[in-house]
Amino acid sequence: MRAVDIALKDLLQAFRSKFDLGMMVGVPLLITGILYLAFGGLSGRQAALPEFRVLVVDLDQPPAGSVDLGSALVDYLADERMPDWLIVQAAATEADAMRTLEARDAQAVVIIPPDFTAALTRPGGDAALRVLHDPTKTVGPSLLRYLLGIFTGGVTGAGQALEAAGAVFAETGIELDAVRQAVLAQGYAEWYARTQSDLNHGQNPALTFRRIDLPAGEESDLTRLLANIMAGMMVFFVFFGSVTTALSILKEDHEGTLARLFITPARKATIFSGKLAAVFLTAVVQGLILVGLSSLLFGIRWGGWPWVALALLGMAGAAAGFSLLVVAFVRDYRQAGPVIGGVLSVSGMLGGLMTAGFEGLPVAFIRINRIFPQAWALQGWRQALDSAPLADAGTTVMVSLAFGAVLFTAGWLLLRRRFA
Amino acid sequence: MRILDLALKDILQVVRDRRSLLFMVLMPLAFTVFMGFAFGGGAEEDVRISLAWVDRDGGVPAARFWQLVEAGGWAQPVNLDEADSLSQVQSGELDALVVVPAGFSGSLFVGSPLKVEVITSGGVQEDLVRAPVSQAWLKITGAAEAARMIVETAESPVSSGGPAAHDAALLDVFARVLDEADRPALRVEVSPYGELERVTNPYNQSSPGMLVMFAIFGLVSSSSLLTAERRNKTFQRLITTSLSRGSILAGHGLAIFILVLAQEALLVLFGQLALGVDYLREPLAVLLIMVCAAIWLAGLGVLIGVAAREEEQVILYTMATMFLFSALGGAMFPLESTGRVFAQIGQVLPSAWAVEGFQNILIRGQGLGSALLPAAVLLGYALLFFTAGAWLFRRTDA
Repeated sequence: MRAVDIALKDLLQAFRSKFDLGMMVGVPLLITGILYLAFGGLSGRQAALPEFRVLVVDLDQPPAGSVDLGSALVDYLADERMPDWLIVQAAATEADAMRTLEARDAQAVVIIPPDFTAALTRPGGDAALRVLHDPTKTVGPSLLRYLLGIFTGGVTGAGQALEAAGAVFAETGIELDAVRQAVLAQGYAEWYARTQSDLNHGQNPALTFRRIDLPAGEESDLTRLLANIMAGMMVFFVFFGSVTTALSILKEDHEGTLARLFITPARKATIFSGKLAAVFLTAVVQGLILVGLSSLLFGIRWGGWPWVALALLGMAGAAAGFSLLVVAFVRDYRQAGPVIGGVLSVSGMLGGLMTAGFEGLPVAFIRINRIFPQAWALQGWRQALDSAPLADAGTTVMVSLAFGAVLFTAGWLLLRRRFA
Repeated sequence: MRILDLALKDILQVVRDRRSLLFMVLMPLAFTVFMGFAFGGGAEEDVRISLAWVDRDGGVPAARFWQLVEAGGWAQPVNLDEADSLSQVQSGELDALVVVPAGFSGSLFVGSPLKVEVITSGGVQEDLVRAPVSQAWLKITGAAEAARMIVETAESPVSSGGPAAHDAALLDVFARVLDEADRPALRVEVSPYGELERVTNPYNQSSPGMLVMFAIFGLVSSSSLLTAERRNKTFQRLITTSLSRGSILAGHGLAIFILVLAQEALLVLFGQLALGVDYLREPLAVLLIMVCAAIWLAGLGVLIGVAAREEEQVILYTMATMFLFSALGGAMFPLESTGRVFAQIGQVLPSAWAVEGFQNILIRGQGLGSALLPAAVLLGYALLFFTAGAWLFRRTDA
């Protein structure tokens, strides 16, 4: 009965403290919430791409009477039907554009060379569009390359058609005369202009795009990623909460109330059992709150109750044992904060909690994960998310509890010697 | 002089606590290596768009279409049947599905291509699929159109021999036009400005990011001195001396500044020597950003130390600030990979300016001039936080 009283007292203390509640519940939800807003938002859709500013330097000097391909490219990029993340402006000189790029007022510069039209309208001529971009950007430049590819396909397509036609006609012994060349080139150019313009935007586009949003209540891939991140954060902060609760041993020692407890008829084992029960219960309650709130706020589906119960049991057992051992190593209550923070962060990192949303991590790293109890607690939650076979989830819980038991025994031995 | 004494006392207090020091030094080093490893140094995550291809046509042009998409390197091909693909796109497991209709190949050669449908999951940015698929589609349809025109222009010679020979001729010319397209007369050369080696070192992103993140985290130790002073009643003793309240804050601020600067210096040195991050290519610019970031963090540290009533609150405020500023400011992951609104908010934060200041030097290869604006913004934030701290200090003191 006394152990229960001690446990209840510690439990109440933990949940009455605004600080403890902030750390145990607020911070993990805050971190997951930031990532939630960063990558998906409330719609479950991928958020709009950040703006990508492009400067076009048109140095093209088309021969008299020729089409102006440089201007055509500028018009193409500045077309209002281009994606809204693409902001295109003209720059007078390459130096101006580079200055703007280096000042981070633009993310890329497209340079149209002086002989652009001349080279492309000359038989066998070739040209290159240079795109220089901010080295910290990867997505925008990659998409810009494809958009430019659509333009270049049109410009060079006619020439390629003529080259192929030349070869075909030569094999058949027919002359590809100027008239035929002109008919081919003009026909192709007209077709391309029409097709490219109608590609996605015409009344009857040949390439149609359709986006399937999840039916209401369905879990998206993004939610799934966040669920994994939330699982990592939950395990991290449950371990943090457990260690904080277990710190009551040192706090009571520091304030002298532990010495008073020791002179009561309660045995030391009973006192420490009460402390351990408080840590275990704190972890369970904290886990339940986080599961509930993350389901409500982020739509995470943690699986059925049997999986949640098993994952909670494994996590709380491992966290309780881990906490007792950590506290046993800390000598001074006042110095506990940074030390505990360090131990939790390093073990959490090596236990895979900070990379819970990553895939394809190196095998060696995953093997290292396994020697930390946090990794097994995390696995329990992953199995809950996957609704894995209960036998597998049961095995994970057993390993977590075994970890907890070993760590508890080591901690208990150290504490017993300390308070002998 | 007394300000210096006060600062010295704070520094000694933190430095003497060996375990705190280890925590302030070792953890940032470990995380820097780890995050660099995770964001490109060692992780093998496939970041391509997962794409299923349903070819109801089975013709050569449809197959070449798929080859072109695959050759683009942006898509990770997934072999699934149509029903499974659709279901996985719906659930978000698969990013996109392309459905090539039956009769597609034949329709290309009569000038009215059948509609190709591209279905994307709600979880993927549609433009990431739209641009490359459109380019490949135009190449295929363009080649088919050219083939059709060539065969028609040639009138009978290449198409004599009946429909089968006509179709064979179309396919032959189609293949030739596509081969010509492999040797384009107009190339698009995309490259980052600067040296490639600098751009591809993953630690150029993680090292300054972790530096900023852990400089904030280091405030746990330094800011709590202010709180501890109030708890131990030494603050009450201090204000009975001739030292003004402003001097007391300045003394603590100076201590935080020196501690943060020392931590930054250590991380810069580690980055330079162990991770190949070339901080020393522009030592003055790096120093300027380091100093201004330390001044900003001293302001933030004073504010946290004044706002927190207990040392535990210092941890909470510091951790919340660290996660907010690091995640939103691009210290944990590049803002380019986030959504537009998130990136816009993040870009105004001091952490983003600090990271940008370092990136200008490390990744963009710029000089001292590029550090001036980030430094000015950081100083502006420092003033804001110091003023807020002083105001709160005066209010709580009153």
